[in-house]
Amino acid sequence: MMAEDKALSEREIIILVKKGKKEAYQAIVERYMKRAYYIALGFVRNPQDALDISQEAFIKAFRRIKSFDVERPFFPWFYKLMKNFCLDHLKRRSRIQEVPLEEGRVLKEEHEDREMKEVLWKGIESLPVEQREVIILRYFQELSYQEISEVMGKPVGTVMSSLFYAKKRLKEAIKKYLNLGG
Amino acid sequence: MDHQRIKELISSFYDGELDEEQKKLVHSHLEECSECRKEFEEMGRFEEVMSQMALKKPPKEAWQMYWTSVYNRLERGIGWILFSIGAIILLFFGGYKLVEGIIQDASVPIILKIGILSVLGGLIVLLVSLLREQLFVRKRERYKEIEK
Repeated sequence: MMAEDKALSEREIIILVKKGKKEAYQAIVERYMKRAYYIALGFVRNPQDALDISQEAFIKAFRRIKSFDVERPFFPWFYKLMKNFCLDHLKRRSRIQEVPLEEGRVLKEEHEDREMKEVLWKGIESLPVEQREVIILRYFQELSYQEISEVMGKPVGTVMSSLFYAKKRLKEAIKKYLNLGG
Repeated sequence: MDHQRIKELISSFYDGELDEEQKKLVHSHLEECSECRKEFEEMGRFEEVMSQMALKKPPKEAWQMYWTSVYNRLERGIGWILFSIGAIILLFFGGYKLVEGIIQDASVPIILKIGILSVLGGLIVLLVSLLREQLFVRKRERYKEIEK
């Protein structure tokens, strides 16, 4: 099955999935699962929630696959579905309670002090959705402007300016930790 | 060139998105503008901090089990749909037979017949109301404010 999958293009695999072949969907899931997980983690910060949300999004995508246009790339379409899951999760979480810091921690404490990273993370969480997305895709997925533009379905110029304003806000949030001497 | 435009280019410089001409433009501007030089240094420090922000990797088993978990949940979903359809058919058939039996049974007092029929009627109304609510929620466009 896997050898067969390698020879098939994404479009051909999706056509099989549209015909109800669940096994063919495995190739799509395995191609994008890491990217999906890390993007979800960037939104929700909790690894277990990120796994659940990304998996739920793949399930929903499978159920809605008939409405997907095979001439378009899969990931941007999937990304929109998953982003809605993430935002829904964040809304519910903010209604229930604020997640305790330690429980939601996803950062490796390597060089910088925890406080600054926590402030930075809070800053990311408080960004408008579009700015938060570009930060996650740029820094945690290391995508280029062109790739971010394709995933988000926005022009490259919009990506560039969203990133600029997002960085400006984040830089301001951690200014006192940056040791810039004024 | 205005400072705002240069600051945007500085941001893109650190993202590795500038061509040679744009890089030259930024550098020549920095030589004569202290405000933008300061922005350049701040952005450099900021990028350094951001490069140290790493997301935690899940345990290896998470990737090994990922597809299995998605597949199982997909299959369970289909199972639940079939189970629900079957349960609804059985419930309606059972309810119909029960009502038929009660109405035809002359030994059951009228008041008991009315009581049982009203409980069943109430159940049907509640069920229909729940189903309608679910359908309504599904039909509503969610998050339309964030979709392009």
